[in-house]
Amino acid sequence: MVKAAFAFGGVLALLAAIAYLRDPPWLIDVSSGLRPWQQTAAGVRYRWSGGHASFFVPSDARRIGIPIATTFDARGARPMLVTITIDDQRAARLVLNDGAWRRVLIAMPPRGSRRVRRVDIRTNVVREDNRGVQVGEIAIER
Amino acid sequence: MSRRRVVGVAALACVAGYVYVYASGRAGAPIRSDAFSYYVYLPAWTLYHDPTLEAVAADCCGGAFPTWTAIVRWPSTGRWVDAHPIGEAILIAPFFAAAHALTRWSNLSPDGFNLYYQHGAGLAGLSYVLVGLWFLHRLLSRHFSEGVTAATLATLLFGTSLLHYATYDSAWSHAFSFALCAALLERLDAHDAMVHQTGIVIGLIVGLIALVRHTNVIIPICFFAAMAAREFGTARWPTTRQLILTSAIVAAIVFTPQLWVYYRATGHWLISAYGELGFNFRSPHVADVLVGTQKGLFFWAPVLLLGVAGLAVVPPALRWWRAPALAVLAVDTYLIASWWDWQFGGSYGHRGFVDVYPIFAVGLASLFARVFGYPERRDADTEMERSPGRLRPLRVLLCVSCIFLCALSVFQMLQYWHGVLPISDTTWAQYRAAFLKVW
Repeated sequence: MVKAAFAFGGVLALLAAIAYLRDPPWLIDVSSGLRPWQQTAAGVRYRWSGGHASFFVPSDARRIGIPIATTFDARGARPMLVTITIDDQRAARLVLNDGAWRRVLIAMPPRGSRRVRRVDIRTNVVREDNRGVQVGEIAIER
Repeated sequence: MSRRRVVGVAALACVAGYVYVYASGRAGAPIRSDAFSYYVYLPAWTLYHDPTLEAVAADCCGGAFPTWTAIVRWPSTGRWVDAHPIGEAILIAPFFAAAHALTRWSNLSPDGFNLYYQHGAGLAGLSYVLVGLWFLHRLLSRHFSEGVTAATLATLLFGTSLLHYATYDSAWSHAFSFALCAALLERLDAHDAMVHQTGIVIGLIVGLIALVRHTNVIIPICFFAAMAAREFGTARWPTTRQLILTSAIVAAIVFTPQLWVYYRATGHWLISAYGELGFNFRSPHVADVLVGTQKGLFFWAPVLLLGVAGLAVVPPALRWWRAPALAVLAVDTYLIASWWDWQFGGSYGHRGFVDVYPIFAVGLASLFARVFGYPERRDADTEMERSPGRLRPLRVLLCVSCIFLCALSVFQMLQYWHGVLPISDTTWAQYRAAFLKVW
């Protein structure tokens, strides 16, 4: 009887954990493929991505703006194709030919059943030490 | 202590260590360094549907794996070759599947490297250490008392680097090899005890041992050779021959995918992806790998000396294990000592030997049984009564030594986690300066 109660409690706890993990509040702080924050001489804050970076934005955002740039120097000067997806749907694609900062504006789909939407940034090439693009602070319009 | 309780206590210790490591930020994500190249097959096969590894390289690293991954382009074909084999990825697969399901459920990026995949791989290593302890308990409790069995497993977990490889570096291959070695020894012993057994299970284990770390194939080879030498010409030989043949055939089948992976990438069935780096059999660092301050096995886990000594007093039923056990330890030592990087990079203790800790466990249990009671399980209590005072000083000494060495090992492991001890190339002066120094 005690064993059955423990087993039942265990299954309940597992189901509750799985239900919780569908839309946990901490997901907004989860990212991958992004290095620690840095700052340019001009005071622009950014993080280097790898070949693929992923982060979350609030799902009630109407539009987001993503500042991106990369380096062009002797160690790497090939044009870089950058693809941005929202929840695996392509939202923007651009080619970087110089080191200037660009602000990619993306109209977000209507709010779904989750608190957050996933943004993925992929580059077709990387610079030395697996650096993709510099990703600045995301502007969110609600 | 029952098997469930012993493994349960070990699980508590391992989970506590694992949570501490990652909650306190002592280590980076579990899939790092060597663990990356052992694991990378899983996302390549199942998420990117590309066994050539090109798609993973494109997604994670802009088309080229960093040099630290030990994944290199084969000169003649230009294809990626991973220096580490596919066995660990196969063993992680169930954890990977659960991580992938959770990834889809939480809408994380299904790239094979988000936090679910990371801790799926990390917890896989932890779980395999527990599986190894479960098999060891099953093996030892067949020959020794419950007390001796529990003391042996506790000493192995806390007195060596096993706890470290169940927690901090759990996604490295050693946790998996440890479990497979323990499973092999237990199944061989079960066969010896005439427990119904087929060669298929043993063959699967042997195949996986070779798939996780090719050089560990010396373990089944030595034990099969000893088994054949012991039983050749006896009434049991036909059964034993059948077992060895079936195991060898099954193991060869299990190993086939690895050959295909090599052939597809290089055009050769067997290769070394390390290039010019490899074994240097003419100048092995035997003393360094055994007693050196940098990574010496017995320097960092002196309790294992008891395991070696204990092989002299194994119970009669396991006496035939002495020769293969010593042969495995000798060949393994020579191979490790001959490797170009005989320290095996950064590690707590010498990680090359974690795979064969189950052999030391048999020696440890034998020594404990000899000192605390006669080896045979059913005589354990009576022998204690037969020699009441004669062995008492030795028992106290052994008890105190083991407790001290376990405490020292755990403390030094924490020092390693906190950066007090260097990850490699530790000198005597550095060790002395750091001895019992709190972080």
